[in-house]
Amino acid sequence: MQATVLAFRANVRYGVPNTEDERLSHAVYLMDSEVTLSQAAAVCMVSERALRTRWNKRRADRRADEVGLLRNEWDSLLPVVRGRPLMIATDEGFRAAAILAHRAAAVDQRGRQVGQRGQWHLEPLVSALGWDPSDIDTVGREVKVFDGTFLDYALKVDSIPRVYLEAKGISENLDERSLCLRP
Amino acid sequence: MSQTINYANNDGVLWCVLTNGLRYRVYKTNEPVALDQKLLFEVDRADDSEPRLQKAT
Repeated sequence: MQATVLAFRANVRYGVPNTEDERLSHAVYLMDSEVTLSQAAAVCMVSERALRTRWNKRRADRRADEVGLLRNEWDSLLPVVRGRPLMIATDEGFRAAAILAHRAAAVDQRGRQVGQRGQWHLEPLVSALGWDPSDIDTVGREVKVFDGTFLDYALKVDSIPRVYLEAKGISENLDERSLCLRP
Repeated sequence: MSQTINYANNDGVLWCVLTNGLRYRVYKTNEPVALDQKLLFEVDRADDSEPRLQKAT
């Protein structure tokens, strides 16, 4: 049986598994060798659920490596947060969203605000949406509106604003009707 | 929130995104409905439930 042979090779390579963590590593090794999840779980005596979780993490880590994310950027994200950028089909969007999440987490830890001083970390998002942040004909910053207040971003098509993007402090509640722009 | 949408609507900008870095709200500013119903959808990165788009009510 192919799985058994591969399990033997895994034992040779990694040692006979004792802990569940080691058995999961073996099972992932088997799946890398195109053994099915249920087969790998049975051979390594781990639950299919635990193996699926480990396998998904392995695939996510591999995708992060492939798009050039730094390991500290990717590892800094909570598992639940990682799931969201992974839903993005394009590698560019995935990478931009992951970097955005990493920077948001870093800003959050430092207690800084997204708005005012920290708009920069929205720029990967702006870029992922298809606008070039370095092109002033495409992306306007600190856009003055009719009564003299400023908006953080205007995303333009043919030099005409089509989307206004306003960033608030990370601790601010977006439900607040009293949220107002900077005069 | 209301001011941002009003500015967009006043300038003829159909779409407005409001975010605090964790939550992203997308509004369609010219919809002929009350202000709080102009929310098209919201994405909440802090929500630990299954990923989904929250449609406006």
